[in-house]
Amino acid sequence: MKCEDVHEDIEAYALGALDQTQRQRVESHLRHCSDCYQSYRSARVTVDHLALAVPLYRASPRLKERIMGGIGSFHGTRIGPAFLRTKWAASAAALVLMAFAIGGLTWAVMLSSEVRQLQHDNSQLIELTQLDAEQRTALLRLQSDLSAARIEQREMVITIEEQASLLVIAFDPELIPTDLQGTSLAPQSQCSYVWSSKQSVGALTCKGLPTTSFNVNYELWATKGDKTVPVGSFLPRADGSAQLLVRFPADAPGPISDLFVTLEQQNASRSQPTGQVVLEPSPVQQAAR
Amino acid sequence: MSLDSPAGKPLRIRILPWSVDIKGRAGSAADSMEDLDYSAAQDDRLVLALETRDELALETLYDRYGDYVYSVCLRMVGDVQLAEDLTQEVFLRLWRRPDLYDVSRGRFVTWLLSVARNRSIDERRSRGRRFRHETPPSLAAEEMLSSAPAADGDDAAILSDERVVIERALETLPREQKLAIQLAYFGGYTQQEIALGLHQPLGTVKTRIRLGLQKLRLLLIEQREGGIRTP
Repeated sequence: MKCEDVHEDIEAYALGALDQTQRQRVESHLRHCSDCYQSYRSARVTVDHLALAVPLYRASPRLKERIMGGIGSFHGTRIGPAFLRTKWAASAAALVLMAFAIGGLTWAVMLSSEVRQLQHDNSQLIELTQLDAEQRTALLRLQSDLSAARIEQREMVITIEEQASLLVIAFDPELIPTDLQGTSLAPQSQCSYVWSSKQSVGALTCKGLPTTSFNVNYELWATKGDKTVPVGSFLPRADGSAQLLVRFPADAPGPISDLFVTLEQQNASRSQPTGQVVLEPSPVQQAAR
Repeated sequence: MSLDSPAGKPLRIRILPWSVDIKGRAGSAADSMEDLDYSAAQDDRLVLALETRDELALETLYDRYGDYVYSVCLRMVGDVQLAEDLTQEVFLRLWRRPDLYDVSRGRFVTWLLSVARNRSIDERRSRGRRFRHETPPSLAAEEMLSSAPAADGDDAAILSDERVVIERALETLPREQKLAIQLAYFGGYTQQEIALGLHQPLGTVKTRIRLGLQKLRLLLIEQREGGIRTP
């Protein structure tokens, strides 16, 4: 924009008689043109004097009282010079920040304490859980041991009862002995069967029995009258010996006429002997009968 | 956009307690304030005293220019109550922010009256166009306002010589030029509005304003150099 474009508006601009668009156009030029700016300054000085030509009226005395009374309310807003106000404001801001910082720090400490407490509780809970698991395992182990002990105790009771029965049988003067001799399947085997009529208990004592296969037991059979009945199953010990206590049912009719031992499958029917005969009465006894 | 700091122009020098103004006077607010003769003190010195919350300094400045500020406001808004409110605002603003006075802009009184005028224009504009429509620029209205009786008394005497100078200069202007300038300055009208109100071409109004202010400037210089001096 050239100086000629704004030249005729400089005075009007100084007078404030331009609209906004024109005013901005002139201001844009004055910012970069020192000559036109000097013209504006001269016009402005003249314009500023115009106020002195205003028709003069005397203001009400109350106006002075209002003004002088009004400044009292502003005393509180300015505590001191600018630099003091700045320092005061800075101090106030610093105090506020410090209060926030202290509050935040306290909060952080409280939170940290809470977190530590929670971690401690959690640790205790984990320990209790682990302890509980260990105790549960120990309890199960104890129950298992107790169960095993009960079984063992029951077996011992049975063994003691058997031993007691055998002692009773051994001192019975009316014992009826029967010797069994191993067949060709177990030629080294020998068994002795005694029967106490007073006690109604019989006992089979064996030695030299060969070890059986898996799921195979020795089975003692007795023939009473015209029936052959299973008397009992047994397994040999490691040294080939074995004992079997025999209690016939009270309603079993008639005296025993024959005894023999077979090898039977554990799950096989016990109604009739199906396996091979391993032990049978010796030929001498058979001849005596 | 402010033109206070154009490229290549002198820097603004504010009157602050720790500054030195362009006339080289010591700027300490506390400097001999106890011995300040308020009635004889220059305006700049009193403004300096305002920085230390000197109520007597404000009272002195009001006694000197209160009627002028009030008259400018009354002339522009045409309402006594509103003019008083605006006058109070101007002096309270001076009390709160005396550092806003820019020495490089000229004398204190012209700055103070320009503040009063600008505040009055703002008030008129904030009240919308209705205000302006109720008082359209007219030759009769402007002549009536400009011929209002002046106040008597001693309070305004401090500027009486300058008033004489500007009044004489205005009287020498052609009537149309004086009217256009008064409508723009005291009425707050733009050139377009004046042209519309006076039923004159815009170019004519522009020329009247431009030539009128240029002539007024020369007349002021001549009359000052002719022997009428301000205190």
